[in-house]
Amino acid sequence: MEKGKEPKDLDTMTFLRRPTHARTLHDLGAFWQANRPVLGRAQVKASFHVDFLPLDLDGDDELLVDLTRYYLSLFSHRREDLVWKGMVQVPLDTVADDDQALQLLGPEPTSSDPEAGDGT
Amino acid sequence: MTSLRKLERDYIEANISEVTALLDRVGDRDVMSRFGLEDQLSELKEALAKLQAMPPETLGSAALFFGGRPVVGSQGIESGFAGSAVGQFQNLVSMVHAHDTVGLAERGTVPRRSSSTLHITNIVRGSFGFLLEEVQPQLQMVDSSLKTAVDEATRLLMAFGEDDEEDFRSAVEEIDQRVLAASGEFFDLMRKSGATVRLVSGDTDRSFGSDVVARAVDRARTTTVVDDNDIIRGQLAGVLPESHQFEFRSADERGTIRGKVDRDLTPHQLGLFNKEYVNTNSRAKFKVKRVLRDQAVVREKYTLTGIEPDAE
Repeated sequence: MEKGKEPKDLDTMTFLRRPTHARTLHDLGAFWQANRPVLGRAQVKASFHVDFLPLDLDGDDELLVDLTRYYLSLFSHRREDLVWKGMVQVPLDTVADDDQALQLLGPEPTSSDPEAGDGT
Repeated sequence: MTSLRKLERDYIEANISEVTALLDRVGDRDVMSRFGLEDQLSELKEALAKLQAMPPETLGSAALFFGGRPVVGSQGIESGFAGSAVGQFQNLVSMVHAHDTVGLAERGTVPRRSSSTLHITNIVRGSFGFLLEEVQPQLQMVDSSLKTAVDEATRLLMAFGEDDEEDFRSAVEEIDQRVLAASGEFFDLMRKSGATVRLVSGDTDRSFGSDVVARAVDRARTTTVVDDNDIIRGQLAGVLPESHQFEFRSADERGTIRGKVDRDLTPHQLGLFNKEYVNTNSRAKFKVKRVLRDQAVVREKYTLTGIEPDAE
């Protein structure tokens, strides 16, 4: 959180492996279209307040370097005063940890009161 | 507002060209990234369109970026230098403001200094700079007099850095000696401090490297602006009452003189000039602004202020 302002969303660069059944670009495209609710940037932003910027770990190496450089230049500093911003690296392939975390959090809040929070 | 629109626009445009170049490279090779980049591009284009649709700025603002000896990267700037540099820019703006509104005496207090005050509202990085803005409690529909003064001061400083000598001279012709000296002091401070400066105001963005600063100092040192009142014998060829322009055939070596007529004279008075003085021996009064380079006159600007019959 910067300067006391509530962030509108979380910027994320997500490095993803292609699913085994969608290794080719054609299959990957179809997979992407079929899963827009969790892979479309606009949908993800609306549902989870997360700015979802995916990067393909099974794609072109040089492109990956270029894209990482671009996003890093975008997110590493505050633009107005060049102060470094913190970045958190979160591994996503951690189903066991996720289960534990869910247990710790307990059941989902049922209240529509925003003060109750949803943990995001 | 604590950032210049031009800097914001430059940032978005640079970002758009970067994303466009990346998208070109990505092509069909990377489905995942393409979706992200396409969204990013449309967001940037939307932000740019929003910026372009904003009403024009009406308050004065300028960003001064410094580089060279007094500056340590984007970390800091020598406080003494920063104070003097910003102070001298403010002084120049106040003088231009006074010159344009109530007139500026040859010496003494600069009038209306308080109404020409800019505030430092932010620091800007990328060497080290300050954002100076006019702070007004209310929005203005038309350009404030301070905005006009900041724009003029910017144009004047730019003229000092122009390659073309004529561009510089024609800019100097519009000012007086005190404003010229104030501009010279600003550049002299840059030279003495080993500093460079970039000035951004409105749509203007000009960098003054050490060679340009040296040229500006030299121009300020060798140039003088002198205001005189001359009475010249000759014949009026005519005046244009609406556009306030005249042509006068002097009896001396000056030949035909052309210029503006003082705005204090009404079109009706100018109509009478045409009736009574055209092709008649007369004595015309002029305000003359002379630009001197190394004491030699390089430019003269005549403003007709009055005319009377020549009795002799």
